[in-house]
Amino acid sequence: MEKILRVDMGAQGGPKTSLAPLGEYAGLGGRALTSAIVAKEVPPLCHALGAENKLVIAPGLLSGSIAANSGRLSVGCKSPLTGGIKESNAGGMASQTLAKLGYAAIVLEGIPKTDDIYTIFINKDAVKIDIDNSIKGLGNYALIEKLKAKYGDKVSYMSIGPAGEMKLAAASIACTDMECRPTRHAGRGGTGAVMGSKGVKAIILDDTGIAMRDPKDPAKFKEANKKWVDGLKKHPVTGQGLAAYGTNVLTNVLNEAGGYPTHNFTWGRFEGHTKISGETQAALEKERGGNPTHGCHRGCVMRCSGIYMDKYGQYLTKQPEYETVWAHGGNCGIDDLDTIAMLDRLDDDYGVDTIEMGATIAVAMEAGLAKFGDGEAAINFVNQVGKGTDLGRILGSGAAVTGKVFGVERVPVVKNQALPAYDPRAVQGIGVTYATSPMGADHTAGYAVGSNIMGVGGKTDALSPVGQVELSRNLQIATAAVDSTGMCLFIAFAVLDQPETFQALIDMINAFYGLNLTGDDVAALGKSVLKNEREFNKKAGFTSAHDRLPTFFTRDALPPHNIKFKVTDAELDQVFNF
Amino acid sequence: MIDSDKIIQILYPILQKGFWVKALTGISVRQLLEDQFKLSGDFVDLKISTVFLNGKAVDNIDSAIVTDNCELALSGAMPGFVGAAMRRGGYYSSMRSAVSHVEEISKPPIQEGVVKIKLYNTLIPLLGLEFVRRGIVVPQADAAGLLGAELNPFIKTCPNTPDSYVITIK
Repeated sequence: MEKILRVDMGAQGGPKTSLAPLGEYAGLGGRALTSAIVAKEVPPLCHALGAENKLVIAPGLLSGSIAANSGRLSVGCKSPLTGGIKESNAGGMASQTLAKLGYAAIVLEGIPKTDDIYTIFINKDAVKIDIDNSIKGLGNYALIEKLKAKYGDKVSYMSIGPAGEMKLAAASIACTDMECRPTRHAGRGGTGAVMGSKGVKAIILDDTGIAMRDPKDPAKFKEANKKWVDGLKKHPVTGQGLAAYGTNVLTNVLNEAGGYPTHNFTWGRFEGHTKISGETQAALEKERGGNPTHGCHRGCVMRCSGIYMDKYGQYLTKQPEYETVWAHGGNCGIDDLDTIAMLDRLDDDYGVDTIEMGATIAVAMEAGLAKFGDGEAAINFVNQVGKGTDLGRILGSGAAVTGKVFGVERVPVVKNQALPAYDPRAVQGIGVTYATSPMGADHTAGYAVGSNIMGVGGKTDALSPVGQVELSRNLQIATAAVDSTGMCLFIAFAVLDQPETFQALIDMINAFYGLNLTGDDVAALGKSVLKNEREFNKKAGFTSAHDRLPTFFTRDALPPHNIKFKVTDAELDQVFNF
Repeated sequence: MIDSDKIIQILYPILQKGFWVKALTGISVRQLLEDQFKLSGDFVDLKISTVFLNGKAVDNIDSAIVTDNCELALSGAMPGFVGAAMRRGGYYSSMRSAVSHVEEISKPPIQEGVVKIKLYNTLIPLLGLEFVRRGIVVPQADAAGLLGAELNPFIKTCPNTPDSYVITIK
């Protein structure tokens, strides 16, 4: 993983590739690398779909090794949705495969001079770029089936659906899972539209004949990995709760707290919550011969995903995540798991972000285009996105655009990106992160590792209002660092409670690269990532006015607890004071 | 011989939606769980990491008081930052202070009453059967699907009030 592959899609005579050592980017991986390249090489004021933007695909520092749960992939660019810097994170097999192939990053540059559709095939011997217009317009599922006939099912695929080809701002990039299905997505921020603007429909990664990456100190690495796995397995969340019920286990709890956004963030509770909860979903999957305990990539020991069968016992989609079930479920007033699973399948097939689509449909429902709870209408909306109708293109451009077109004031976005499944009036600390993250509203931006363990930013008075700001800051720093390792963010639960598990993570990185990093060094990495991202956004025209929640969160009380978002603007402006 | 897995499979919708039990009220959540429901202190501390009283997240189960007709939701450890924030007494609990339980200044009387219990996630299989064994009260609408004997060879449903049923194990 010491080289960067650059593909100039706009080169004279057709796409050209070049290889270069990491150079000034040495030591970086995942989000640290994508954000460093975008911040240094992409003009902040460029058009996100123009030749000047770059799509950077980077595995994490430990991807491709035997380190458990190290298979997350970072995809970075200037976002067509937010207009700022973007790092979108995905599971699936691509990160492991790309790392084994030895690439720290693939950078797609320029735009082609024709409307041709390209595939990029990479194996240990060569990089091959072909025009294949026969795959134009295919959904991700049909695309992968077609490509499998040529490349087989032992490779990893990254691809875009019709939404990416249409360069819609909610478009995602699909990564195939262990079963070679296009179910894991770099969903947020419209990365699929940028890939579409480069004319690339699919990247095929073939690691045939390549072993796992070797650590510098195998004995120490093996020992640290064992402690790491033991820590993940013994923790009640990573070892039990997630495996049994998946992330959708949160539905009942958020609903109970009155923080489950319902009917486009109008209420904090959804009457039909038990019909779509993780508990119900897991039981249904078992009953139909699916599987509620399944990893999204090889080497995952938490296995929070699953397989969702339809009522006839046929595969429909992967187990929809909590965010997806919320976005298409309670937020749209839909309490039918089969409808939600179908929406998830369609999102994956057309290649759109499930959070953005769910939030957008709820905005459309508020505009009167359909009634809340109308599952058939929701399915029709997503199908229109896939077909590229006029309405579909509006919806596929996200909640902010849809709200503007249809005159809706209650549009839950920050920096034009839709809020995820936690109402910031109930959980005000996450509201701070939604407001201030360089990514736009993002629940994973302040998600990670125990900042109390890392000691980022010193001691926090958790009972003061400022404490919420400090906690958000520390969490964002820690998350940026974890995103750079290639580790799944769900490791946070074990690391949060078990200092020895956090130490095992640092020991793994040190043993792999022959380093002597400390917790402070990891924190410094997180800070530098955020500084890069903030600097890019500043040059792109972002100011503190963009670090705000929509007004209705501070104006309208959220039932049942009737609470408003109370963190002040002055407090929000203190988040990035380092 | 009862099939506990089957009983849970039949009753999990009711267990998560909520059921009523008779209990002494005016006591702390911990006293309710340990003295009334006979759960061990270790179980309460290690397995019941998230507690809601009337929809508010509880940090201190020794000082939070259950009252007649209150609702108590019990959950295992939850994933995610918000899951960690909801945990009782957790490091991130301040981030959900808007929905945290605040204790009443006046103490309610200790008296016989009813409490609505909701069981979530890992606590459904761990506690569900024991509650059903003691008898749980559910609204008629929720019990309606359980009235066919062939559907539930292990479960007994008896009318309680005109609009509720008691469910126990046969």
